[in-house]
Amino acid sequence: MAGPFVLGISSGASLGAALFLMGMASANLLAFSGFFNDISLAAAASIGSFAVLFVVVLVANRVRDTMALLIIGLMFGSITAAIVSILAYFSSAEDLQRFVFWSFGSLGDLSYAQIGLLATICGLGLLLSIAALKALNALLLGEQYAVSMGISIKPSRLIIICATGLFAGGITAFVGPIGFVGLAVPHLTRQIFKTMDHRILLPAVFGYGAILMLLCDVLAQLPTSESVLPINAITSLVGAPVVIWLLVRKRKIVF
Amino acid sequence: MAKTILSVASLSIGYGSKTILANLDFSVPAGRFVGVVGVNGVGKSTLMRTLGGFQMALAGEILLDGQSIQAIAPNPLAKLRSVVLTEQGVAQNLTVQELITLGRYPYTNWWGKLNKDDHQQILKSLERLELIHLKDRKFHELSDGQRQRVWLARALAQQTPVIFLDEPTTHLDLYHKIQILKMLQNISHNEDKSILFTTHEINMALQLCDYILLLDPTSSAFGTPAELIAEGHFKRLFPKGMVDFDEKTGAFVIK
Repeated sequence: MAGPFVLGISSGASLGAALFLMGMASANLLAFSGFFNDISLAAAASIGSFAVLFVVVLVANRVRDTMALLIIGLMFGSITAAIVSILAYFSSAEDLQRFVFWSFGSLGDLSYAQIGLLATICGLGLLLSIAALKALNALLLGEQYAVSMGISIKPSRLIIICATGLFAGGITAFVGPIGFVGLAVPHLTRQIFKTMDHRILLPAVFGYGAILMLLCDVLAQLPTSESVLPINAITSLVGAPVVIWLLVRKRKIVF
Repeated sequence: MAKTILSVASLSIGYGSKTILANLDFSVPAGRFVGVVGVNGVGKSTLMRTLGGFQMALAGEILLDGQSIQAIAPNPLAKLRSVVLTEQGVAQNLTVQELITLGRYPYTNWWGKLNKDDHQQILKSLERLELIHLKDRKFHELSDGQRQRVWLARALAQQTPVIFLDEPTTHLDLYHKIQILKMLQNISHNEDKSILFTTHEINMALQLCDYILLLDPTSSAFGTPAELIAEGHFKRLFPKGMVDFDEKTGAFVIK
């Protein structure tokens, strides 16, 4: 349930991108166009998502309740949305358009250099995830049991947070804030693989997520039509009902 | 005389500036079955959390196998003591076998690979707690008594000389209370494990335990049931009037 969107991490990436695209433009820092490229956009989005993630984790240490954490994530989403709309109000039409197009999300339009960078970021995230697999399994029993089995909570938590930040920040920077995949895919995967073992779930979620994403992309640019729909709209149209269905069917979602 | 596995010297427990219990002194030889009794709110769970190493002691020392628990690294500590807690985490979708397998955590490598010995220990724990026929069932499908046996099997699979249990018999009916306590006593004596458990079932604890630790805000006591009865400690456990301790039968009777 604690997907990047819910925790406000993706909105952190949006905030980073918005500050970069609109805020710096209005401050006349982008006078020379050479500075404006996707690498720096990626960096801005990553910094944004890390910043929000950092604050969320700080707050999470104070509240033990998952529900409270989710609401706090939503509030962070509201705050970033508010800042983004203030920025939008003051920025020029072209900058606004650039941000809006970025926020639609797109799987295309990337150079091989950019793909290389994205692959490196994801590779790093993947390595960290693999290192955290055993701890994640132990944490299935809750923090106290995990401690009793010899896991050191702080380093494990740091690894998990860094992996999350790398994935969410990096991917959001290059393809835009695509919603609901991060939230819906782990739950859908668990419907197929009836296990809680992260060593199976990790590759399964990767594969399933990629397949679902490409299917949504196919929907977004149907062969018969000329126009390309924003992928973000498609994933939300598919993802949101799935989440509602999961909640209604299970009544209680396992976080 | 068996060697001392757990020894507690002038221990004070509590939170921050609030001391709940002070000056606890007792030592438990290997392979003994110890019941911890006391009225509601006296600090039984706090004591268990402190002994387990989840919470700092305010003063005094806890020695596990001759070493202070503060000085033992997380992984070696996990090979010395295991726990069964009252709060049950998010393990709902795990199968019985998966949950018990997590008990092998301190012994496996970074990937959590199980070797022959691990498999043997898991099987042994399943057999010991009569769970073989349930091993592929989901944890959430089990009854309270079965769940308690699964947690116990997990602790057993951790292969530690000391096991701490917090209220292992709550929510169970009379038959299952006795079943769990008999199993614990049997494991303690036959496999040379020292088991400390908190309980409200003083009558049963008196009949089954080798030692009783009676917690009281003013003067706690530790000894064999016969010693504590002879010293009249149970007479002062509850306020007078409603219930009285009969020294001849060793049981509480309602007035």
